[in-house]
Amino acid sequence: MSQSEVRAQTLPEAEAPTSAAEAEEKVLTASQWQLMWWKFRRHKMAMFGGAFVFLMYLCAAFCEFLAPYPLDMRDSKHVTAPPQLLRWRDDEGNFHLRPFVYGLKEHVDPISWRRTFTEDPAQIYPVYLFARTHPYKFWGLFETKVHLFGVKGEEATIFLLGSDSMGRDLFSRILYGARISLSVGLLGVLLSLVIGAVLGGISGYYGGLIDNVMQRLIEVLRSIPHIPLWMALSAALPPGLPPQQTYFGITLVLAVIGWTGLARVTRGKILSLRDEDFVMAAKICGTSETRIIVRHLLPSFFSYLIVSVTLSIPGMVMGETSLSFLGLGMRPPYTSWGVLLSEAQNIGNIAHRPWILIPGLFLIATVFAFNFLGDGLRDAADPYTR
Amino acid sequence: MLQYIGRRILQMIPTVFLISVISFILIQLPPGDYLTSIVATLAQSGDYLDQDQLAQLKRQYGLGQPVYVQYAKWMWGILSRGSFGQSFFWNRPVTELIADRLSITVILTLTTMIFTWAVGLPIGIYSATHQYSKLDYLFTSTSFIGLATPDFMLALILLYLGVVYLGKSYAGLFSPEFADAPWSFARLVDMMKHIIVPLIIGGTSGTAGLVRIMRGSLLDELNKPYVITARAKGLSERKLLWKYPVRVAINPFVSTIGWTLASLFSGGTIIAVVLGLPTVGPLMLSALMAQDMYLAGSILFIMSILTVIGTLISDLLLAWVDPRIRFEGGGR
Amino acid sequence: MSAEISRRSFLKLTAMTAVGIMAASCAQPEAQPTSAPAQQPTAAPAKPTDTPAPVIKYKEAPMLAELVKAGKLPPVEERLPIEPAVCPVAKEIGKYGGTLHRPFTGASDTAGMDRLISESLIQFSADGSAFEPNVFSKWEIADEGKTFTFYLRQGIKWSDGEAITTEDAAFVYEDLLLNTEYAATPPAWLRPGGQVGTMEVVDDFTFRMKFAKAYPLLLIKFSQPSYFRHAKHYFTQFHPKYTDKATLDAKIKEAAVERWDQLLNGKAAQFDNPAMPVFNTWVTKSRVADTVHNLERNPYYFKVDPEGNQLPYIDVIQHELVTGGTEIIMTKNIAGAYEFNDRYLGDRAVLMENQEKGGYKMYIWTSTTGVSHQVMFNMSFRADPVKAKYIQDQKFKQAFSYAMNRPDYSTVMFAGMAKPRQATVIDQSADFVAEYAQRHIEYNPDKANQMLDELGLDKKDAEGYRIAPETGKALELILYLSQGYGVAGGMVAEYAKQVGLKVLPKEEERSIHYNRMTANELELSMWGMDGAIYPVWLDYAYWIVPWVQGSSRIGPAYGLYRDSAGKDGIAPEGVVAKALEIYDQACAETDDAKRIVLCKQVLDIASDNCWTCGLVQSTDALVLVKNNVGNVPDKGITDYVFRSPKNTHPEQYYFKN
Repeated sequence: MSQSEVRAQTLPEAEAPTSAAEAEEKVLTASQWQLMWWKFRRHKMAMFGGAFVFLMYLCAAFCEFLAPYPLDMRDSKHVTAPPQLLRWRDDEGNFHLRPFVYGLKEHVDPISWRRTFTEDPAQIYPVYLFARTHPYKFWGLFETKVHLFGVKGEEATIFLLGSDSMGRDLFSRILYGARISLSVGLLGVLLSLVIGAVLGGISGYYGGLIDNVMQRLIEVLRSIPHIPLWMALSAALPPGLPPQQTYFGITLVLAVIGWTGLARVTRGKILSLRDEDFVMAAKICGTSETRIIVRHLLPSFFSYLIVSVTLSIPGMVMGETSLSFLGLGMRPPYTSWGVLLSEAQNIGNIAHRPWILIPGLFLIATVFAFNFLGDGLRDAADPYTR
Repeated sequence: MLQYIGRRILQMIPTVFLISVISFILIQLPPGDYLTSIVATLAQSGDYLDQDQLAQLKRQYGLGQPVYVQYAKWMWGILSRGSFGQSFFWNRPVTELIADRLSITVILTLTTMIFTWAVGLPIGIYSATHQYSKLDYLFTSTSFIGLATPDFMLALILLYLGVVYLGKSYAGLFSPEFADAPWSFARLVDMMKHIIVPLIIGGTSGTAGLVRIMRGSLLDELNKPYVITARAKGLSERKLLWKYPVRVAINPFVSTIGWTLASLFSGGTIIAVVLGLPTVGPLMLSALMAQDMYLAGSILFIMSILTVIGTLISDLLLAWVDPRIRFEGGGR
Repeated sequence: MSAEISRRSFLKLTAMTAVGIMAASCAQPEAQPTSAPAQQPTAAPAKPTDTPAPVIKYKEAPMLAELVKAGKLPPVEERLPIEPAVCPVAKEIGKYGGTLHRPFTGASDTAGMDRLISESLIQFSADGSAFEPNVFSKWEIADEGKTFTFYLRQGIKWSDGEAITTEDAAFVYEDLLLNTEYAATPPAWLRPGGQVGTMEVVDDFTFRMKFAKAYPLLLIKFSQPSYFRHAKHYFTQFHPKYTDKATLDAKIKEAAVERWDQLLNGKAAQFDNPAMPVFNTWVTKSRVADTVHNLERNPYYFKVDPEGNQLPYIDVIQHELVTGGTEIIMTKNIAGAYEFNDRYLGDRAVLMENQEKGGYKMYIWTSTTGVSHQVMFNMSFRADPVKAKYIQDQKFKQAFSYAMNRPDYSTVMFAGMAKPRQATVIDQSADFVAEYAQRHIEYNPDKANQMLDELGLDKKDAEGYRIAPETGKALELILYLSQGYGVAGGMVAEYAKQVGLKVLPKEEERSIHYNRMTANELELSMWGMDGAIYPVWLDYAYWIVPWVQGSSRIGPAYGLYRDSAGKDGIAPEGVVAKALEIYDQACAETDDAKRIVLCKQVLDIASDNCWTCGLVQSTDALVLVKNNVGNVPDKGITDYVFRSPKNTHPEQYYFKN
């Protein structure tokens, strides 16, 4: 019994079609992917999560254009400036068609050295769409000055989410950070998924010596704590290594540690699945072993893998953060959310400059959305769903 | 069965040996040794050792011998006397140090684990049986937020809020007046107050993971034909749920329960580090950082043994809960 | 007893006698750290506390009085030396009792305890301008600085009640320092210029040390609490000369070590061995690995307050192990969990603003920080000849210095509260020359560009970086940073970029960074510049000249060469060699005025060559003091060699309620 048949039989209805007969017809002729899409749509939070993740990836892709400032643009007059509110109405109650922000005035306490900023209603900086301000090279292809929005003039600033301890725009940095964090998470998980599923699958399916060796290998890898491994790698990385290579190095390190969990789970599942009737049937039919694994076994616990994978992404992002703590993390110009968060880790920021923790909110929101997305996918991919 | 266990134990020996060698080499991999790391640490806080003090320390620790000699000595100590050597950093036998911190580690990990399981499993089952209900969304969302929040960030914020609103820092496990007091009811209460923060932090991410996996695998099971058949045959929903699906859905947990053994020993390292808890995790971390190799090596080694034993337990349990898995073990 | 003061300043080392009067004060905590040693005459006006108290009945802490009553402790008169040291109080006579809480971060942090409670043989005065008697009641220097006679305070006792005599000193000298099983070679401090100094016992309380050449730096050594700390009656049980082999072997085995010297050294870890007799203010009652470490008052402590109360006032010093890092300590700081904390303080504004809530006050002491941040050029770097050439070049480093935007740096890193400064000693130092502190510090990118052009670095690559003519590629220098210097390094790199210099900051875990230093791999690096005060810097600061390897980021291989007497490392060359030559002369010079002239010459060369390129200076050193703690001076000087906070005399801190 092939799986698509099972699915068709256990799927008496789908939402979209109007009449029952039509529905029946549609379901029976629908492709596997169509069925999945229909079911996925029913999970509202998953739809929302998917949209958010998509949006974040868009932001990551076009961060140069979306960010009002380049990544390392520093403003010594606005160190740890609070977020500037986007306004339409000024203090005198006049409405402005073009939104604006007030300028900030800095004050430093001579004893405590605390910086505070007050809004200066005398300084009004109108916000322009497609402003031509700071030059950058879009995707390394062509030079341009156009940003989605910006303010004009030497003195004008727009820090929508405040600035950090060096006077850099946090909003811009978060967008740039998204590019690194999201791609590291995705790449790392993909790598470990491939390694984990393949090795775990082989291990569970063949059993015996291969299984034993694989299990020992996993045990050994799991037993080695990550910290010294990372430290050792950090020491081994040549100091002049280009940042791109550091980036890939870190992704690889994350995957090297990440795959074992997936492999073990896969193996457990395969062990219980391989004696199922449909495997036996396939075997009797003379199906090749690779085909049995790829065609029959893997799809059987595809859903489980997806749950694991969605759970792994925050792990990857957190792993990258720990690496940043150890000094093996990303290096300029590669700024990840982990780098931003580790910069934020102090009582002074929590007490006086809470906006510096905002990258954490982006991280939480993204991981949150990722989880719902994975959840929806899981349900959709499951052949037995009602 | 006995034969199977026996063979597994025999197989453990090379694994453990391999782990001990690898961990020992890994600890030695970063350049320098205990001495350089200690000097670097001192310099950081404006304290210095002069040449004489350095020369004396070098002698004291017998550093500079080849790695294999150090390894052989260490192994021999373990095998012949059960001695894991001396910690450079703390100037005490490794076994004593670990023993000191073990009870608190076990208490902390067990509490967190029980909390996690007690909260996570029921929620997971509820979420699976009431898929897409309001409560399911609520639980799902909460657990996702827990999953998404970095532990260390949460820890610092909670500690700060504790200071601001309760006027007290809940870092550590005891207030100073109870720290080295003998066990008493007051001390227990004091500890319980302090344990809340790590419980919340450890609980949030742990529970979240548990809920997700439980929900996922239970949903898998609930939609299988045998459940439908059973339902068609008029089995009560309650029995239907508990008799097989839940048991099978717990399967993936069982395959990882073995690792809990090792985490009992060194669990919650990051939380313990961030919150400054006196458990084995931070002890190991500081040993690694300070290249206190016998201490770090021994903790690693003990942990690996526990992992290996745990894996064995896991496999046995797996065979027990899922009889389909043959424990003869051989290939086809 | 005369009113003459033993408060000899360093410049008087050549005087035939420097007599310490036994009843002399141990400190003047109120003294301002401004008086330069050079201007300090011998005839300092007598302070009221210096007059020996009339014969009085000594008083003691209630917890000790109880023990005396129970017959477990001899009366206080018998426990104190014949003439106890009188420690003046910073503000008022204190009360006995209380437990003082502090954080500590693990075994490597015992230095924090050490700096709070350890007594040294002689001590620096509170302002660091002179030496004062302590365990030694006086000393004499003769023979042009080659012969030293030291007088132990008569009747002073170890914390277990045994008398401290010259026998203890002789034990350390003969049985430890000269024992080749204990120390393969005698320690460096004992052999200035290569020849081992001799020691001769004169009587129970007097011994004499002789050296082949003038050794004025010995007094700085003896102001540190690591000399003559082994009580003979206790340590002989771990020494093969006094203990038979079988007994010793059993002890070695029990301690899980291999040799007797390891056993003995393990027992000499004063914060880890409650059984070890000491002469410190408080004695250890715990082991270092304990999560709470207690130090309890030393019943035989040798100091009294001006009214004859045996010190210390505070009963117990409790250190709580905190492993989570400074931010965890910060939450406890602002919650008021510690009565005194000078080591682990975080965000200044948060600390200041929580003073009322936490019930503490932040004192601002002064540190001996010449510059708070500096860029250091490794003059002994050789791995890449092209890079080495520019690192060595004086003009290159000066240009680099002109490229540094110090006002901007101060704004970002110090809220604008630090002032631009070149790397040199602090203003209060006797050898300070104002001009040196102002050298090459103005922000002048045009001048920097011009100087770099003149060096032949006038071509730039596509990214705008200057091309080294030797290689045809951009001149790329790596700025190695220890953890925590990332932001600072980024700013320096940015300033350098503005004049076309490619500087790549690389932040690394600190032991990795340290290893790079000892392996001579550093090119550029950053650090702070503490201990920048005369005469301390001669024996400590690694950032003025690379006199030893130590933490000498400006020439570790040169330092190593000197450490190993030419066997390892690289022989100093050029201007560094010249500076070191003058430095060596200064160290051997016994006349203070002449020595200061030499020191100024060294500082001249250093500041003009900018191998330590200073950025900005802030000498504020924060100290957290709970409101119920009394007698902590409002002003203190923070420095490692001065043993802060010991130089403010924690023995007279007390709890008001």
